[in-house]
Amino acid sequence: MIKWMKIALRNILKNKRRSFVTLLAIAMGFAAVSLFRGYIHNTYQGLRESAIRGEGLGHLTIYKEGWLEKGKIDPDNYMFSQEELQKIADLVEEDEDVILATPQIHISGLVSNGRTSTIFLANGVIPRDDKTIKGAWAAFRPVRGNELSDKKAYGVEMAQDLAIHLDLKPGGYGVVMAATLDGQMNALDIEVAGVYNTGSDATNDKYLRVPFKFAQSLYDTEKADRLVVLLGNWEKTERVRNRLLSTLSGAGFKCEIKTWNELSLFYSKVKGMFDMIFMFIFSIVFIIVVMSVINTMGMAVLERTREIGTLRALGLKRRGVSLLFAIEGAMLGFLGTILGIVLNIAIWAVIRTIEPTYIPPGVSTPVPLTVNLLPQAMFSLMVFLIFLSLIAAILPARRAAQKNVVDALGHV
Amino acid sequence: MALIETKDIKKDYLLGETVVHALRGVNLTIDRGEFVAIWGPSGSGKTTLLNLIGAIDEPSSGQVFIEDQEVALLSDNRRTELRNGSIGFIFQGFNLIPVLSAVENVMLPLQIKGTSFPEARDRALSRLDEVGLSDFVRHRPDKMSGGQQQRVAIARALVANPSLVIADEPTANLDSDTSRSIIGLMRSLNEKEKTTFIFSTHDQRVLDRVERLVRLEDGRIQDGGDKK
Repeated sequence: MIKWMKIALRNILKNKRRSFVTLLAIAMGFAAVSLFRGYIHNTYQGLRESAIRGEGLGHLTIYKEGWLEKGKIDPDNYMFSQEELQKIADLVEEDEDVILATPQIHISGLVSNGRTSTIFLANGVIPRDDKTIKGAWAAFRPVRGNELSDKKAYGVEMAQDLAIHLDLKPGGYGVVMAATLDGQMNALDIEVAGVYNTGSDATNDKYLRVPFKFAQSLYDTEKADRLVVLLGNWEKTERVRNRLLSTLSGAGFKCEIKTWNELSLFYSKVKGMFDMIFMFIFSIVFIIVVMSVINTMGMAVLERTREIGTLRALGLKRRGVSLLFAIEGAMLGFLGTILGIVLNIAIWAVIRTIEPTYIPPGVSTPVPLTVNLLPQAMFSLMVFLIFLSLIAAILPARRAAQKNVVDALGHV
Repeated sequence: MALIETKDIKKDYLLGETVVHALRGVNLTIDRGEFVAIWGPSGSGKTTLLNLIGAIDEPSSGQVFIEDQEVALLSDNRRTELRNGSIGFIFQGFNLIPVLSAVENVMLPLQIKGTSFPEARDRALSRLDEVGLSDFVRHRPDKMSGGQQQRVAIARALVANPSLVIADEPTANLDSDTSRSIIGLMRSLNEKEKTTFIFSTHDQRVLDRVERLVRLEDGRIQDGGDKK
């Protein structure tokens, strides 16, 4: 095998210009795919954290069966009672992968500064649990002013654009109004404890975060519509969901559990779009690599027809000839991907150094363009491209192997 | 027992719509240890006959036997193994692998066979020494003269100790002195190791050291078909 590798390598080096063009095509293809993969990996990571911690979705959300379908029409019937919440929370927190299970209630209504009113959507959360869910994310989108606190029952966090519309600043006062579960209008005073950026144009002008008790009080209920579960590792989301479904069902609770990605529409749409772009880029690279290797190896076979004839005359079998050219193709793939890794790391380093930012559609603030370096993904891509180059080389190699020895020897 | 036997072999080629009769019924027997020159004018069928004897081509009709095996009945793999183990080739254009050094070229038949690297290298160095190229073992073909390249080709043909060496116009690209020297080398190896040599030529100058001449004309043996 080593002797054939030696011949293959020397032939690659012999045709420097042609080999360099092929290696460059493979390297650029590798770098393009790998960098884009690194970029979307970072984007998914950001969106995932944004959904789980920024939006406060946690990893899993437990609803009473039927809530998602009929909860809007008959909320009282599909909300968890205090007793149910406690029992479910206790069962859920017994799971080794669960860090926290916290009740939440989503409310909506009108918010007013005394002069103008507008609609709001609010999430009623237990302040200390909300802090646990946010974790390090809190530093990424800090609250201007004060955060929610158990000590101030009517202190709320208001989304930035909503605060601007209502001309409210931290420390300012307003009123929220909503229909209770019984259908009566209810109004409560609020103090804007802090102002925050949701990161999305679509929600920045209507979101509030309010203390859980405050939300219950506005809806005049002791119930909650969901129990948000935070896990230690997002990769275990699906496994824990199945486990919890079985535990809760065993305990007689009829629940549905949604994962963070099922609830975050934005994540699903962005992921769908990026996955498609990735496939598009990958397909182009696939075609470029295959065509480059086929072209190079086709030329090599043509130029070395006499050599093939000689090797066959000396006793090299047909599969030996195929192997020789297949090795050369694989070696082109290997050297090309090595060059691609160098290119990838160089571009990654440049991006890290200049730290460019951009504003994606629908996002209210610039986000850094960050590319993750993914050694495992790079290795998989390397193996794939080497295999692809080998397969691409086999076509002309088979043609070479089938050549009649006399015809090959007589080739000029 | 004859090493090579051909029975009424014919070979036709299609050149456009014209059928060219390259061989028109050749019967030839060559024993082990012979030093045979097949000579005749261009187009007489010399190369075609050598290709058939070397098991790199098949006759249109007739039979070729090498070491009592009928070549046409062998599979492609078996025929390739036969070439690797029993036949050495020397080509008019030397046909050395350009990216390999002299010693690596000579090692090739052994490495194809599966001989270990050290053994193949020792045997190749020994053969290069025999052909007077011990100072050129690391040289690539493009750094050697035509005569030196042909010596490397001879060393390569002999390295696997074949029973037969086929040389197609081995001196055609060489000057007179080098031609004589190459034929002399082949002859001395034939005498020393009793390896059968069959070579084609139309150069009368190199025929004085040949013990058996087979004259071919228009695809037929005119003279020398039977051993004297």
